[in-house]
Amino acid sequence: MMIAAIGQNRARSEATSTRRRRLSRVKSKSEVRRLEASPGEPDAAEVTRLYQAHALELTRLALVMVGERQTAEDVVQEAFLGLYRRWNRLRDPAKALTYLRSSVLNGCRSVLRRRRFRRPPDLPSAAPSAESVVLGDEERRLVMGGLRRLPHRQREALVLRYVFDLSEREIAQVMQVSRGTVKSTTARGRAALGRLLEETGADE
Amino acid sequence: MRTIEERLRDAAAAQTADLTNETLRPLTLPNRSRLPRGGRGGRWAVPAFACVAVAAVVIVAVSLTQALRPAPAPPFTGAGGPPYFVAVDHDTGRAAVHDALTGKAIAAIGPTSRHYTAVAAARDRRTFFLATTTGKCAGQIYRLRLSADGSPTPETQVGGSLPMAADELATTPDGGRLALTSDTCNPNLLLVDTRTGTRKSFEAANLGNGPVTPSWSADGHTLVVVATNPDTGAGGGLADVLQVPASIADIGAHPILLQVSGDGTADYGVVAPDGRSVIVTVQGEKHGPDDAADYTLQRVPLTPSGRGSVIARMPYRGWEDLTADATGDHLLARVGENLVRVDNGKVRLLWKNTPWIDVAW
Repeated sequence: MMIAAIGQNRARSEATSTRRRRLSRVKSKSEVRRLEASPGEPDAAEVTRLYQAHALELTRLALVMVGERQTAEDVVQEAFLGLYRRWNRLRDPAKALTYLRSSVLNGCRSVLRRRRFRRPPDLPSAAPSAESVVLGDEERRLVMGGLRRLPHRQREALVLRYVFDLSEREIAQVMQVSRGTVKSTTARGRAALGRLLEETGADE
Repeated sequence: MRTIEERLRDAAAAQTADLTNETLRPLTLPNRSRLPRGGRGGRWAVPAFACVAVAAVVIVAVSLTQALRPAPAPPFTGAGGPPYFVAVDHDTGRAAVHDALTGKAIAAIGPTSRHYTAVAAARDRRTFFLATTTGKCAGQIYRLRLSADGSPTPETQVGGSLPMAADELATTPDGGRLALTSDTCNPNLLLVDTRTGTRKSFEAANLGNGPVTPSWSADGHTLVVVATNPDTGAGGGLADVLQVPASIADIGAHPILLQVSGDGTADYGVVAPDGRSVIVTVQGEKHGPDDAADYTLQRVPLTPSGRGSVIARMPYRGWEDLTADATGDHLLARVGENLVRVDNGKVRLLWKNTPWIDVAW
């Protein structure tokens, strides 16, 4: 009986519902209406809208990863530029946010790879500064320092999971790995960070 | 004592505290870009964000302290829930039978050479199906029966070699039919008749957009696939309802009867025993400087609008799996690193630091 009723309701326009599903994490109904009216084409306004909606989150992500604001903003700008250039080639524009997160992580990885050979400008120094004598600051400095010593996969999984609250499934899409891999990588990263904090005397 | 994740959140929040929309560099695009001018919020944005962050940390800390504390005496006797559950370890690919009251392992399942990926339980609480992976998109299914004391009898293979390594597995209450879904294989839905070995795979509209969780109705003729596109926020697709005829071979190419919308993002769900609604864990919209999300357990009617009613508000983050027994009154879920059971809406911690990727009872 329920199924029969359900069948009648299928008359809804599939195109509209598909379009609605594809509107990624939009913030308001007006945005939904505006986007439904415009087809997915290379559009600076659309990319700018995405920037306005997600730049803060993505810059936070990049900042946690690379530890320096200027670089973090550069990485995010580059990710949006890449999105803009590839807009026509995106198989599913609704996955723009996933694309951007992956792109930001890739950009951060490149930055960190280049840094292997030179000291980054603002990574924590060996001796705490006068300001960071405050216990909380010192604790945070050690946590972030420990995080940056982890293998990049573990670092990314931990940050996406615990700092940005993404589900294992979302992380799997961003990192392009299986959910099982996300879970095991997160668990290993968590254990490794715990060990590092113990070694540095930051264990609570 | 704070957990690693709390310390990490705190450190990350402190490091990014100065970041606001107002202080971000405008986006510079080639050609006709329109640059964002300023942003929302004002001079109170930073203090407001800080207050929200502090409040969130306090709420989460208090919630975790209170809600994840093991249940005190009198001893919990199970509230009529299943006596055992089967869990699959994500690291080793091993599976084991566990006591549902204590969470302790009772017996290992299968040879060590098998790599299990998912598990499902039939209504009798004794019959389980386990999916294995034998390749990127290749796997097998094994049926397992437990004796009264929880010890497993030797497994039997059903359905032969399958073109899918299942991420999720669901069985009809009588164990007659299975639904397997995959995050990475195409097609990503496979139905198997365990009696005849008949199988059929296909991909449906929602299924192409993201990970999916299958669940069968009590009569075994309706399959609900919770399949929110992870890129879609509130108001997006929540579930597909498929009608499955008596013979799997008779399924049409487009068996979806209904697509249900919902408020929020639901990754996991089970059909309620009445067959007219699904019980789903819903992640609300992210908010605040920490992108914190509110989680709720909702009952969503299988109607197009799908507006759900909240069964319980979840006091902590990271709800991952949700599996129910045949009554729908007893749920198992992974929450972060913990396994909890929910009996008639009451949440109990069952196991901390789980290595499990899938559980069923």
